[in-house]
Formats: sequence, structure tokens, C-alpha cells
Amino acid sequence: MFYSIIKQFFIFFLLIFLQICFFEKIHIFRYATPFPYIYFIIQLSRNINRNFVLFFSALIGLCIDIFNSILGLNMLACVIVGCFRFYFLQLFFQRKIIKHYPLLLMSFRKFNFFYYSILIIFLHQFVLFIVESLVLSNYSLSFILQLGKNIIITIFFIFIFDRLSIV
Amino acid sequence: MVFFLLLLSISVVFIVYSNQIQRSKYFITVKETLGRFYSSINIFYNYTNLDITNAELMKKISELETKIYKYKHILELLKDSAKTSSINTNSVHETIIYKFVSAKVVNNSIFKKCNYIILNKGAKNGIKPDMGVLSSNGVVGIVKNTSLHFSEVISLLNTQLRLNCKIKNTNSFGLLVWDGKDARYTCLTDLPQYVTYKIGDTIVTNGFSAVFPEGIPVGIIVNLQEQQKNVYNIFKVKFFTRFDRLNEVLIVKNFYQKEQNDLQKSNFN
Repeated sequence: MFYSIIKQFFIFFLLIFLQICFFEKIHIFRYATPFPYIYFIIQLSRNINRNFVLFFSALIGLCIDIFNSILGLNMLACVIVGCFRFYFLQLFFQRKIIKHYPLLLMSFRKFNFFYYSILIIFLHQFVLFIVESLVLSNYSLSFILQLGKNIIITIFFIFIFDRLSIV
Repeated sequence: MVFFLLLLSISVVFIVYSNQIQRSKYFITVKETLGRFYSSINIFYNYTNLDITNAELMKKISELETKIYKYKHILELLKDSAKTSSINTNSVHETIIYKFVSAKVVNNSIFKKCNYIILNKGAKNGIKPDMGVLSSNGVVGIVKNTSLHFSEVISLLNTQLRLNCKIKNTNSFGLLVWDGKDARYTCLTDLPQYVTYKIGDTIVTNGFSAVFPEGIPVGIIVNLQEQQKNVYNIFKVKFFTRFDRLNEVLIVKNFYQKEQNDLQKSNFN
């Protein structure tokens, strides 16, 4: 139990550090920026209290925001993801499987984890994109292209993290 | 559910007031630590740009050298004429309006819709909000706020910044607004349709706001992008400044800025 808490904190700070120092500066295909910090919310184990999940989602979002241009943007997206995560889990995760394992590829059937991650990443990017467009009132079609690119590139990094954490 | 709504409303409040809260004095300590943090990371990123920066500096040096010789020549001529007629040399000193302070870019972004630049000079070096920032090629942005050792600049790549500019040849002025799409291009709006233009015309600053000296290059007209309500033209403008390779910049101090602003304010009142 103690070990897993330490591990969660480590992942929390590592993901924020990586996001700010490296992933923020990556722009593949000129637009796509990966947001792999969302992996923190994806991998939280299922038996954690919902309010804790919400709180830590909001916290990681806020931490990213402090380094970014619009305060509250990532926080909003993360809070919404943290809330819907519960329903997504019910969709893909059967109760039979041992509760205490963190959510890794191993504890899911392969495709379920895949769909679950994609749904979360999609929701996160979608909220981020819509709110940013609303705030800046600068909505245009080219941003939809950017949204797609961001989602694909984030999924790619999430799966790399997933393979690493199994090791 | 209650907790969710609470967090949701907190984040919405943050977003709504983000301009006022985040950019205000409450965050100066955060900005100071951020500046230190970014400057330590930036050491690594700077190495990748060294050769390009060097080439640009060499080019600038050569330009300055030519200017020095030109002015030396003029000085000689003046000295000669001073011998024959009396010129008040004190008036020459009084005409210094602008002073330039060099600074290093500590953090920069170009792919967001609101891009900000952090520089390594702050209030301690006499930097104040509303000072202009230039690169060796052209305009970069305007200082938004400062902490003790760092300052934050609204880049021209920010959809919220509007800069008064003019076409160099015709002197007709418009507003420079970035559309948030491409870091190489921006838009010049609010130009009446009767204004004549050529593709390749240079866009320069006009000295209206006392932030920039008059005639600092911004970019060139690439094409006519849109005609708005058959009254205004919107031009696509290519920046002279390469924002992705920004490293060394100059901050413009205008000694008469306060005076000019006060006068304009009193006119409004």
C-alpha cells in the first residue's frame, strides 16, 4: 500500500516534469502536441475513492496550467475526465477481475484497455479544444485536424508508458 | 457529484478570470521561480540554435559597421561645418529618445494560440510593462509584466495582441492581428479598400503608441487574404522575425513614453 502511494507520487511528478520540459516543446507534423500526463488519470487503480480521483485530476491539470497560457484550461478537462473515468471503467472493466491492481494492459483484456484509453484521451482533447476555441473565439476547421493529430500522438505515448510500467 | 461540480466551477472561474489573475502581481513569485526553472532548461535548447544565432549576429554586426562609417563621415562633415557656422551640440544629446537593452529568451512558445515569451531581464534592469521588444530582424512583442529578474512578453503570435502598423510606402495604417494558425504569417486588418498596395510591400510600425520607434520592420505583404464587407482589406503578412529561432532580443526604452501616454489619456478624458 505504502509502496503504491510512493509510486503514484513519483508518477505524478515525473509526468508533470516530462510534460513541461519535453512534450510541450514537441510539435510533430507542425501541430500535434502530445499530452501524456493524462496517463496519470488512466492508470489510477480502480478502488480509489472517486473524490480522490477528482482531486488529483484537478491537481495535475492545475500544475500543468501554471506553466501554460490559460489558467484552468487543463484543470477543467482533467476534472471532466476524472468524473467520466468512472463510467468508462464500468463499460470495460468487469467486477470479477482483482480490484487492487493498477490499470495496466495486463489487468485488462488488450482491446478493452485500448478502447478505455482512447475514450479518455479523446474526451480530454475534445474538452481542451472546445474550451480553448471558446475562450479565444477563434474556431476554425484546421484546429479539428490538430485535435486528431494530438489524440493520435498522445495515444502513442500512453502505450509506451504502459509498456514501461509493466517492466 | 458535489465535489465534481465544485472543482468544475473552480476551473471555470480560473478560466474566466485567467487574464486578470494569472497575469497580475499575485503571480509574480510564481513567475520568478518559473523564470529560473526555464533558464536552467534553456541552456540545453540554446546549443541547438547557436550556429543560426551566430550567423544573424554577424550579419547585424556588418550592418552596424557600415552605419558607423556612414555616421563617422557625417560627423566629419558636421565638424567641418561647425568651424564655419555655430551649431548647438547640446541639442544632439537631447534627441536621444530610445534606449535599447539586450536580453536573452528564456522560454518561448509558438504553437499555442496565446504565446508568451519570458526574458532574463526584469524590473532590476529597469524593464517596465508596455516596453517594446525587437529582434535583429523586426518586432517581437510587448512586455506584459515583470518580476525582479525576469519579464513576460506578449509575443506577436498572440491572438489577443493588436499592433498598430503601416505600409511603408503609402503610410496608410492598419491593425496587425494574428489568426492563431501559422507562426510564419500574420494578418494586417482594417485597411480601407481604396488604399493602394503591392505584393511585397513592407509593413513597419508607426510610432502612435510610443511603444516602438517609427519604422521598425514587421513583415512583408504576401497576398490579399479577404475583403471584409467590401470596406476593409485583410492582408496576409509574412514576419521578418523567425519566432521559432528567437534567442537574443532588444527591449526598447522610450524616455517620453509616459509623457505621451499621459497626454493621450488626458485627451480621452
